[in-house]
Amino acid sequence: MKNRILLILAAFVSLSLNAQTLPDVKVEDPAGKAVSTRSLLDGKSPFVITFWASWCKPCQRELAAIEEAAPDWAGKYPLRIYAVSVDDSRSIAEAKALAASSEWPVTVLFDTKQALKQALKVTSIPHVFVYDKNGKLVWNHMGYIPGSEDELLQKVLETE
Amino acid sequence: MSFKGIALALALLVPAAAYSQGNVHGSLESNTVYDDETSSPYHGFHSNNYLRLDYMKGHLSAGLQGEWYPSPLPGYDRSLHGFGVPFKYVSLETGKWSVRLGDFYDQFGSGLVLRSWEDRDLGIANSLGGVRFTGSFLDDRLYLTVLSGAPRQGLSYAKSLVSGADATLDLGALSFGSSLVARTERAQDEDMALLLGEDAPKSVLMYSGRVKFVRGPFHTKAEMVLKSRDFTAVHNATGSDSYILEGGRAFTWDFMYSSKKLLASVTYRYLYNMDFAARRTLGTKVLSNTLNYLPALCKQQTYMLACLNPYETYSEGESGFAGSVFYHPSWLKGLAFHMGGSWIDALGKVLPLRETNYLAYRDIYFDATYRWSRKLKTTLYVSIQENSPTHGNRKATNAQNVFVLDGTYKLSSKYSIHTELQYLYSQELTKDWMAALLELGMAPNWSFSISDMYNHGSTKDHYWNVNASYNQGGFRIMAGYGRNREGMVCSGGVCRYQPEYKGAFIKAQWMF
Repeated sequence: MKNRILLILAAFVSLSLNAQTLPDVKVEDPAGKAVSTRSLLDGKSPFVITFWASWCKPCQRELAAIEEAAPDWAGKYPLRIYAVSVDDSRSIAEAKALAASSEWPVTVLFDTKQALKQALKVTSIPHVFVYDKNGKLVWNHMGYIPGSEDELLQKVLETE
Repeated sequence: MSFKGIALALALLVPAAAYSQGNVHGSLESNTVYDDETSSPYHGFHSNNYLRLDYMKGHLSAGLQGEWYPSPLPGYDRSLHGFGVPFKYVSLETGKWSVRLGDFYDQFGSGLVLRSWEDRDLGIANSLGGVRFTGSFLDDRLYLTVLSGAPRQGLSYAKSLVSGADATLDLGALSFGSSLVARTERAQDEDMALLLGEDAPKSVLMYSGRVKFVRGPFHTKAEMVLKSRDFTAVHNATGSDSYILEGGRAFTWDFMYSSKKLLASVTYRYLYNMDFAARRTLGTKVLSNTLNYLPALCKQQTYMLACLNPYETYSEGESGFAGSVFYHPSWLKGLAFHMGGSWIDALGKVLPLRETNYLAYRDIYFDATYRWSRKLKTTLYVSIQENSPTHGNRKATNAQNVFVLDGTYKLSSKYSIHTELQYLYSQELTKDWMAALLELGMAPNWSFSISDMYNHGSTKDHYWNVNASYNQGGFRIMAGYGRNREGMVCSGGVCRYQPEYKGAFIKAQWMF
C-alpha cells in the first residue's frame, strides 16, 4: 500500500509544478456582501491572505503582531493583507465583533462556507499565503511563532 | 475506487497537467500515534494519511483526495480502514456559473438544513458525491445552487441520496434566502424497520427561509427551518433509548451592534428534533454521518481546563441565548475587555423523565488583555460554567470555575516565551485541577512546549505533554510525547470523543 501512495506522489512531484493561482471563489465582506477572490488582484502589487478565527489564539497573536509591526512596514511597501475568517454561523458574530474592535491593518473577509479554505487546502490555521500581482502563489507558511511576521514581510518584499 | 481506477485517473490527469500549461498543486498530511500502554485497547500504531491533488487550467479543474488508514487514530470512525479515494471531481467554472461532477462540499444558509465539510481534527468528511450547479443572475443579486449526491460514509457512499436547492436574493441592505433539502434512504434500513415498522419515512424534507438586514452599526439575521416527519433517538439518563416520530423545527436570530469602541452581539436559537443523518440508524454520534450543522451555542473554549467538560448541542430539543460584548476603553490604550455568556435549556417535552425545561448549560466568561509594551502582553481569563451531565434529564448540575493567566514575552525579534497558568475550582466530578504551559518560540521555524494538567481533587492524575514543531514554508512537522486525557475534542463547536492514550505522536503537513 505504501508503494502505491509513493507512486502516486512521485508521479505528481516529478511534474514541473507551476505556481498555484488564486482560485476564484466567493467570500463575504463584514456587511455580508459577496466578494470574488479575483477582485483581490489589482495587477500592481502582491498581497497576503491569512486565515484566522475568533477561537484561534495563535491567529490573533499573528494579526496583533502585524498591527504592531505595521508602522515600521508602512514606508517600505504598500502592503495589502486580507485576513480571512473561517468562523462559521455559530461564531461569526464574535469574529465580526473582534475584527471591528481591533486595529489590525488588514481587510477582513469571511469564508463562512469554507470555500476558500477548501480551495487552498487549508487544514489548520493560522496559514498565510503570499501572492504576486498576477495572483500566483509565491510562498505559504503554516502556524505562527512570534517574530515570524518579519519573514512574511521579507517574502512580500521579494515578490514582484 | 481501485488502484487501477486511480492509475487511470492519473494517466489522464498527469499528461494533461504536463502539456497543457495548467498547474497541479496538492497537499500531503500524515498523523501517526503510537500508544505504548500495553494494557490500552489502542496499544500500537495508528495513522491517518491524506494526499490531495488538484489540477487547474482556465475554467477547468479536477482533483482527488486519497486517504490511507492502516489503523485509524484513537477516537476516529473505526470504519475508516485501508486505502481509498473518497473525494474526486471535475469542475467547469466561469465567474457566473459552475458545474461540478463528482464529490463536493457545500452549505445552505447557516448550515441548519445542510452542511457538508471536512475537519480532519474532528474526523468529519461528509462530502456529497453527485452533481452540483451554481449560478448568479440579475447582476449577481440572485445566487442559485442545485445539487444532488450520495453522502460519503467511511471510504465509500451511504445508501441514501441528498438533493437540494438554495437561493439567495441580495437587495443591498436587505437579503433573503431559502433552501429545500431532501434525504431519501435508498433501501429501507432493516434496523429502522425493526424499531418503527413501516412508519419510518424513507424521505425526509427540510425547508428553510432566512433574512438578513444591515444598516449602519446594526446587523441582524434570522433563519427558520421546518423538517418533515422523522424519527429521533432520545438518550435518557437511565441508559435506555426511546424514539419519537414527528416533524422538527429550528429558529435562529442574531443581532450585532458595532461602534468604534463597543461591540455587542446576541444570538437566540431554538431546536426541536433537528438530527439529520445520512443513515438514521447509525446516528449522528458518528460525526461524518451528520448532514446538517448544529454547533454548540456557547463559546468554544480554548484553554485546557476551560474545555475540560464542553457542552454538546442537544439536537433533540433545546433553546438558549448567547451573547458577548467587546470594549476598548479610549482612556487606556492597549487594554481590551471581552465578556459574554450563554444560557441553554433542554426542552421538557423531549425529556423522558420530565415535562418542564431544565438547565442544560450556562456560562459567564470574562477576559482582559493588556499590552504592557511591544515585548509583553498578558491576558486574564475567567470562565464560570454549569453543565448538566444528563442534558437536563435530572436537575443535578456540575459547576466549575476556571481562572487563567496567559502571558507572552518577546526576548528578541526571534525568541519568545509563552506561558499559561490555569486553575479549575469545583466541588463536583473530579474536583480541582491545575495546569501550566511553557512554550519557547524560535521564529520563524522552531517551537517547543511542555504542559501538564494535574487533578489534585480526587484522581491525582497527571496529563503531561512535550512537543516540538518545525515550520518551513508550506512544510510543517510536529512531534510529541505525553499522556492524553479521555474526553471531548472540540473544533468549531462540534466535539469528538477522544479516548485516553499515552505515547508518541507525529503530524506532518506539506503543501506543494
